[in-house]
Amino acid sequence: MPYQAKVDRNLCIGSADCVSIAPKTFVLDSESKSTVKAQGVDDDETLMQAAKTCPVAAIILTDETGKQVYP
Amino acid sequence: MQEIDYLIVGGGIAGTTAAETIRSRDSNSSIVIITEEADRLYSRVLLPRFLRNENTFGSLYIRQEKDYREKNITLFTNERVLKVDTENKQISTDKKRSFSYKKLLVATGGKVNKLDIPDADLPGVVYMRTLEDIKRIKDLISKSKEAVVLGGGFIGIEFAQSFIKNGLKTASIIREKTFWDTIVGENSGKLLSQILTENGVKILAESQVSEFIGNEKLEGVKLLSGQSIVADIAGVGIGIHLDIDYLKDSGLSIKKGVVTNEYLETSVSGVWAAGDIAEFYDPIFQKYHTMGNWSNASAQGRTVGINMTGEKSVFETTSTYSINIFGINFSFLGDPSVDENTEIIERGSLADKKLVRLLIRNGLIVGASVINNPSDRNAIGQLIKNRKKIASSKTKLGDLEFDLSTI
Repeated sequence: MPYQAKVDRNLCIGSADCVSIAPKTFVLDSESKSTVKAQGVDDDETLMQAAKTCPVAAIILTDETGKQVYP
Repeated sequence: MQEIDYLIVGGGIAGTTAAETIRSRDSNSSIVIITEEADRLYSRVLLPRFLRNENTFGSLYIRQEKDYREKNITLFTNERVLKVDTENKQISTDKKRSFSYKKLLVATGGKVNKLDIPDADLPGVVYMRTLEDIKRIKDLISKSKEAVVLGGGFIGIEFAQSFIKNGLKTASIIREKTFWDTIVGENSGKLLSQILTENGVKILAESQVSEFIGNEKLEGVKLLSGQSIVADIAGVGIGIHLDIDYLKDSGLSIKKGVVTNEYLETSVSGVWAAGDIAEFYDPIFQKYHTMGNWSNASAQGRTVGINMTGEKSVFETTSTYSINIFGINFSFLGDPSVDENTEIIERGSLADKKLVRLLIRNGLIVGASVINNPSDRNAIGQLIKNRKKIASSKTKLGDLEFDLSTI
């Protein structure tokens, strides 16, 4: 099972870097915060890239066992 | 002399992303990052949040030491490159070391502009760019009661917010009529100033500091008008200059920044530039840009990493910049420049406390600033990226109720 993504809305500033890297997973909502629209649609590498690019480290990735892999 | 396959000068988000991208495509070559900063990658975007007590110092680092180790990326810190010799493919540093490279990336970004007025070297006068800066500011804030901010740009806004959040009496001294009006225009500037004023920042517009006051310790500032303001700390945000001096005799073409083509390759084969420092060719708008923001730097780091490993990927992006101002979202999308061919349409008003400013050229939205109306963000981003011809009337676009995603 691929990584599961979650966005910490309190941290998100809507820079939308994750949306450019993984547009299948992330979308900006009406408050200009990133939100996960679908799980399992981007590969782990793409999700990791999105998480690592986030300037406020707001993206949390977990693996199939529920263990946090990022940050 | 050490020989390096991929040598990266600058350890910020552009250089680090480039290194990681290269490693994901080339598992064997040597990759070295040289940075004059003291430590591994941290987020500049998070620095003001640390001042506002919203995160821990440790969380500013967005890479751990093991991340470099696992990817076999060598990071040399506290080392400044002094000279780049592209003819012999060599660089030399302030630690009297020389390296030769096969491929070179320059990603040294910018440095803060410093004020050149009397007593600007007093310890209470601070700038915000690096982790070291932020440590010093945090310490000073804890000992201060009154603050001044010099400069009406984004950093000025971050200083003002940080001082207010720490309970300091804060005055912002700006040359302009309102915050950032040279970039976002008069009305948006007024709204930004209004938001700051409502949150307790006293704004002294069209003013300039002539000197700092104090002996050993900052006591205040004196304005050109003669007025004096008491302050224990002065946050200065008057822009950055690109760190290009060390490239003077490198053979690289340098104008405002290091000039590159649409692949981020410089005028010298085998040398690339990325991040704030790159003056890159944009094939869509058919002009050269420099862009100083996180999104641009990380996106360029990815593209340049791909290209340095032998591909030809054109750098295309819709640059974005976002900031939270006392809980209100402000975003800038696309190209901020306004010329004689740029049409400006404003949605919303000061009274609405929502203001969107669209910049249109040749029937296309090329840039926008969005204050407190985040629901427009997505639609505008898409319109810029997809270069969608705008046929709607000006009146319609100016109506906040009109849904831009229906264009």
